[in-house]
Amino acid sequence: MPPTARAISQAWRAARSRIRMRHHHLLLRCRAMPLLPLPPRTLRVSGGLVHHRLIRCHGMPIPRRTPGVSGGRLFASLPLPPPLQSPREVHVWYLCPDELNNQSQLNMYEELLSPSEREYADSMKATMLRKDVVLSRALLRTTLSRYTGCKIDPRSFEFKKNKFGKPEVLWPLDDSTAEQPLHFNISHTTSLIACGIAINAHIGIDVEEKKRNTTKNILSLARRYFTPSEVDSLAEISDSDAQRKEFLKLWTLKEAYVKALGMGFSGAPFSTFSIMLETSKGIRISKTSNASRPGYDHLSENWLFTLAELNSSHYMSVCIEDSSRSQAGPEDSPAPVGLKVWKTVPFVEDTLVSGTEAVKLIA
Amino acid sequence: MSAPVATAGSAVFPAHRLQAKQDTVDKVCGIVKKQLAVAEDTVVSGETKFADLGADSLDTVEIVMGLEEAFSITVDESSAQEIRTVEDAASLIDKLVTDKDS
Repeated sequence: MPPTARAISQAWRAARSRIRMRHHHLLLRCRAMPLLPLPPRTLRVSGGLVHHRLIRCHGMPIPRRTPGVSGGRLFASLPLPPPLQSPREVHVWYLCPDELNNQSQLNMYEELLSPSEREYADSMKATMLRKDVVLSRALLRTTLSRYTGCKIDPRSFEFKKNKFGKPEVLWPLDDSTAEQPLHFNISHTTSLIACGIAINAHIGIDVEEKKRNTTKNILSLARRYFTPSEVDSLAEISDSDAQRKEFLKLWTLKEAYVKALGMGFSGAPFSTFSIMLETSKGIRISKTSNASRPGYDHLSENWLFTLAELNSSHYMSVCIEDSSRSQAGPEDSPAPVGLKVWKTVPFVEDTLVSGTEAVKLIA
Repeated sequence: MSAPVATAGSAVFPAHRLQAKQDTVDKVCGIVKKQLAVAEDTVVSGETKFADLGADSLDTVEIVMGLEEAFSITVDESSAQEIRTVEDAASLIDKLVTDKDS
């Protein structure tokens, strides 16, 4: 039954007070909002942060589910991010599942998923895990759309796995964007899902809650899985909480490296490389003698790392390939990774958080 | 899933494996439930996938370590990577224990 005129005008009054748009042509329509009679004629423009709100009116059609068609306006509301300017620049977009509880918004995100992704989400018996799958795929698809000029519908991305199972974008052969050297990686904890994007460089990202406790003793875990030098550096820390946090930092850095390499846990067992946090040249990686066994020739050291604290609640490690290392001498310090971080509620709000208290670079 | 590759000195994880012993499956369920602090009413059985219980890589590594301690075995990374369900873990344990005892 169509909404009554009264309901429509009430909804319009409520929506109008929330509308702050940068560009009025970002008006679009989605099932999350009630139908309004006409597009709003006056808009308040906000400066600074980009805020936009979804609204719906008869003036705009609901986009058809046609993959790859740029006419669908749903994703046109994703604002263009600043471009990635060099292979050393990493952009991270994250969302917090606990803050996203609007069912119609979640339904909208679910619409972005491919049939197989939806099937995978449906296979999750726990509702929270199902929500995480939906959010994680929606985050990936919307982020990729942003970095392809918002010209590719988030729904139309296809993915493949490399022979070790690392997901990559399957660029359509006939598309002009076929040569896009975009790389991505995702990490999630129950409270935060992050998507890292880089251009022309393989990338790995890992996030972990700062307060996370292990069931096993920290040094036992380290002795079993880390290298002797890492065990030694952990053993030197007398305060158990500080030791646990250092372990988590090392863990996320090592995970980020393995994910960046894309060969799985067994392609780069944690005991084959050491991460050093406190060197004068930032975070460094070196292969251990274990790595000279046959089968580990692919372990390389030309990778850049960055470690940050997000919202004072999470550690985030990013690892990207450093293609310029071959030109620089070993004495040269690698330039730091240029990191920009956004907190996002896709289609609703994006907030640049790097450069604020929310992102504290550790190394 | 890529085919397992045999390298010198490692346990090859066979594509077709004998069904794990129920006793092993039960023990694995217990270790997993404890590690992941699974709610009392959640059913964990041989078919349960670790991903379904929300296990991330650190959880998995701790579970594997718990299994190594409980069964006095060593699980190498390539085998650990193949484990998706409780049954997978139990089959691997049975095999490693048999290899160790023989």
